[in-house]
Amino acid sequence: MTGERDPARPPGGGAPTGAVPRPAAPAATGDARRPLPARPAGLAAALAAEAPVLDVRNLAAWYFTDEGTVKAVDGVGFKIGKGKTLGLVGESGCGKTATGLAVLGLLPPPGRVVRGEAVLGRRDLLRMPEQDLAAMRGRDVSMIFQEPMSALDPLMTTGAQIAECLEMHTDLDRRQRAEKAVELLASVGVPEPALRAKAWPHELSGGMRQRVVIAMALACDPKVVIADEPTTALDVTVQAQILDLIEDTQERTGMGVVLVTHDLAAVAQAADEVAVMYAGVLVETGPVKDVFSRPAHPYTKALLGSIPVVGQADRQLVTIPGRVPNLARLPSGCRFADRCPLAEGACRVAEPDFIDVGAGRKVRCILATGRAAR
Amino acid sequence: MSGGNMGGMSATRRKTGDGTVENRRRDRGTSPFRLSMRRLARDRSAMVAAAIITAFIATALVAGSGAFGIKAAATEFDENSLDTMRYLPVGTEGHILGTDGFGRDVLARSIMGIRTALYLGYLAGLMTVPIALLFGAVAGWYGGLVDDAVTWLMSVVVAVPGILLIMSLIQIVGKSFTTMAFAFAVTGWVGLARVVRGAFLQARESEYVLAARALGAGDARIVFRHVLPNVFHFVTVNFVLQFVGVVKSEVFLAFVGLTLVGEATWGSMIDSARSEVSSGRWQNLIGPTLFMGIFLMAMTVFGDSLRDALDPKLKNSEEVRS
Amino acid sequence: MLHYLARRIVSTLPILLGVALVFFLVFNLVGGSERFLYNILPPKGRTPETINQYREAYGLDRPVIVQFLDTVGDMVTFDFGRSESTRQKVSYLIARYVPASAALAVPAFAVEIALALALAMLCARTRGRWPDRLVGVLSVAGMSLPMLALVIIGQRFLAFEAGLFPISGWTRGLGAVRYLALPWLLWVTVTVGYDVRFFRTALVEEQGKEYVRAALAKGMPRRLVMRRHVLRNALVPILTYVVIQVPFLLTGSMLLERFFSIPGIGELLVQAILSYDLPVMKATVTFYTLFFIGFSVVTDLLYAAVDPRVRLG
Ligand SMILES: Nc1ncnc2c1ncn2[C@@H]1O[C@H](COP(=O)(O)OP(=O)(O)OP(=O)(O)O)[C@@H](O)[C@H]1O
Ligand code: SF4
Ligand SMILES: [Mg+2]
Repeated sequence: MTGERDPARPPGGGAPTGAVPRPAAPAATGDARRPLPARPAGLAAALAAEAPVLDVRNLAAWYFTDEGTVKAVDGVGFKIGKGKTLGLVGESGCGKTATGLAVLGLLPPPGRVVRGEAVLGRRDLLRMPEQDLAAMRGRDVSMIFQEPMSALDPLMTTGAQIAECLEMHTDLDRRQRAEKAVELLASVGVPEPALRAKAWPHELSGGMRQRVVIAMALACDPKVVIADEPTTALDVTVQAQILDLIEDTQERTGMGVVLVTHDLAAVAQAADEVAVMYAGVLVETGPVKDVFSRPAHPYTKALLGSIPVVGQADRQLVTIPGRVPNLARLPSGCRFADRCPLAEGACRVAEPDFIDVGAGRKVRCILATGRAAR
Repeated sequence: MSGGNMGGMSATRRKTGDGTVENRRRDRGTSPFRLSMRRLARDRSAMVAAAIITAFIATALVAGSGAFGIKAAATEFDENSLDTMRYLPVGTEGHILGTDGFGRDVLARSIMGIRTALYLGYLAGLMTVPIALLFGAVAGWYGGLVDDAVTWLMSVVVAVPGILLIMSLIQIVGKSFTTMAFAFAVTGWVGLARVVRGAFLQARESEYVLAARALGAGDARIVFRHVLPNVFHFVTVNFVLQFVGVVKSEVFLAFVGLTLVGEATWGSMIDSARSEVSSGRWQNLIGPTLFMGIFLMAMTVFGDSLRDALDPKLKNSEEVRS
Repeated sequence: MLHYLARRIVSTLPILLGVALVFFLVFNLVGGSERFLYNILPPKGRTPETINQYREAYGLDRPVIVQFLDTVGDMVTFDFGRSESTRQKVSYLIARYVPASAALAVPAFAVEIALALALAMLCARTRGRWPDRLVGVLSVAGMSLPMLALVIIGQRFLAFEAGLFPISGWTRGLGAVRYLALPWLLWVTVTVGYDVRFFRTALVEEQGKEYVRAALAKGMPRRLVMRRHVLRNALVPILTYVVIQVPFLLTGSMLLERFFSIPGIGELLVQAILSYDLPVMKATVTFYTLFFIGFSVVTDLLYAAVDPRVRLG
């Protein structure tokens, strides 16, 4: 299961109920979008596969702190196809978690979404009344949180916490929910699930807790799940199991996944596309294989500088000399300029645009895209 | 309750947190204290409160020096006409807040009340802080039996309702502001001492102290350089909280007849208003209540801002990572 | 559980001993006994002979350690002799005065906490917006005004002018509610500010935790998350706070009982202190101390009920 993905995966396999015709032309911004007319079979299939379940555009989410405005997310866009995985990588503090929270409308104060769209189905999650959004959380889009230790309520049994999601989105009665919670625990590989469902979070190991958190997020078969470093806190063998687990679910339900991680090897293994984030913006996106074999942005190159071998103890991002700029006081021009080995005068004049360089790739660097393009 | 949460508040607050004293530097280069002061200076309500407090203190000092005849107007009365009630209502010309039954100006007395409040609150704090630091430090630093003894003492002091001890001490030792302040100190040191003890316990085990020791630094040096700075903000915040508590408690003590007779204190004024309002005489209520309300509100707001500035983690209760 | 209770009771013994020591220091050593003798004698009877006679009668001439053990004995047996001013048995007095105090304090404290929780939840939910700010400003104002002034104003306007309540008084039985209503109201008004501020902090702190976000991410409405997760978790610091508040109940009881002529134990205590009625003083202080210790034991049981991580024993 770990290895190569099956390109011939049935396009709609186990699609969640209530699927609506999805927009096939994500670039369009209007609301009155209709399903495209029929196309030659091959192309239609290709396009259907491309149709995003989640389409995030130009998202900006800032923390308005006393010390200044922290532009944690400052214009991020990506699409996730059905059953696809997008790897979102970047150094600590570059705004990955903030991106996920913003999409779910769960940014804690003093954070706020200042612009952008996150289209799921046909609706923009960012411009939805809280009530409607609450109804979509867990059922359409959900999140696996970074810290398995703190993502569980210490005063509630694990089973009850999983059942809560079912309580929100299904008609199951209390007993059925409890049974389903046990099933879910079993499906994420928790041994003795009936027993574990009655356990308190503090009685479980880190790996078990992370599985519970995953079961909670996947309980209602969401269309998209944002997995925020689901494996960071775990040891390597458990890491691999957890990634497999997520992949299994994807294959079963066609769920789209945003895999937030520091672990490039995990991205190489599990993701279809990769988005490299730096200081609140994306600097490079594209198919994992292409980006990893021919990185275009200096930051990506630096990250990949010594991509570790799978199974090696240290699979974290390499450290790059210098520090991430303060997100409250960003420099003018390219955000990476202070650390970029290739920086030149022009880099500091204006922020480079995020430019399409073909083959589904985009890069934010004046050298990579050519001065002419600007 | 009016006795307030001197100490208790901060003790509980620690419990709700992660129980560790935050000594992590948030930004390299600038000292945490400097950063805190900068945050405080940017907090507008804190600055307004500070201005009010300063104005009160200045007024009290000026009045106390005898300038403008405020002190005289507050205390002197015509002994020959003691039996003639000389109440003047609020709004009388020359006596904006009226006069009391002895013909003394209520505004002047309210101003002199600031002096009493400052004196009491300051003295109580001045006595509390050393007691708390001493007991907390000794317990945390030496541990073992010493710690057990201090911990026992703390549970005993907490077990006896403080106000009872305060009332009994004042009644038994005799009414004076010093006794009152001492009584507040004796009953109010535990909250702060617990925090100090925690900081010392933690410091004793921490690596930098071990390292400093290995380098031959003496205990005193370690304590002053590394440990005391960590408890500084608890001391400050505790001081403000206790101040508010003490000033309010004085009113209660006046009510049960345990304040100083004849002195211009807010408590004794409000207490005399108790019998006066039924005959429509409000001046002794309005004056001190207004002064005390504004002063304590400013203190509370300033205390809050100070706490937030010194320990920003508590403000939004969400860790601001940097 | 029983085992725990037994251990807990044993563990309070050293504290009780310490309390006895404190009493002894305050009442018998710090000039207490001489003043006591001076005060119980009528002015004309204060001759050296009679004073010596009384000193012997009260055993104040015995060695300090014996007197101390005597105090401990009094506390353990809860036998403090007779009141100096009324000559009634102290235990009888306490038993007679407790019901009125309880009738004042228990409902008022319960309403105070409940109201404070409701307001704090409102604040936490509307954090930073106007309801939060309004409650915040009112709390600070309430905390900064002297309780006595508010009580005077309340009595004057609500009882005297508007005639909504009797001005003061007492009766036995259910009719007491008539006299208690205004004190209850004033109690809650005066105290709720402190509590709201603390509860709000506790709730907001919990609100920022990751599991709250996780609960919201499941699709739960904010109100439900507040009730089911935030409130329950905040209950631990809130309980701690409530225990710390209990001794301060006393200040409120004393003030209101005295002000509204409610024959409660606070009033008994104030009178005892003012008249140097040493036996009654000791008895009331012991009573409150025991009450407080008992309350903290109950709280520990509650902690264990709320939080599975807390194990008794
Ligand atoms: N509550 C907050 N208030 C102010 N700033 C915040 C807050 N939470 C996060 N930030 C800031 O926003 C930026 C982005 O944070 P975020 O948590 O999204 O980073 P991340 O990429 O997920 O990092 P990590 O890999 O460490 O999880 C950081 O610089 C952080 O300091
Ligand atoms: S724009 Fe310039 S500074 Fe920025 S990444 Fe490209 S070369 Fe480096
Ligand atoms: Mg993160």
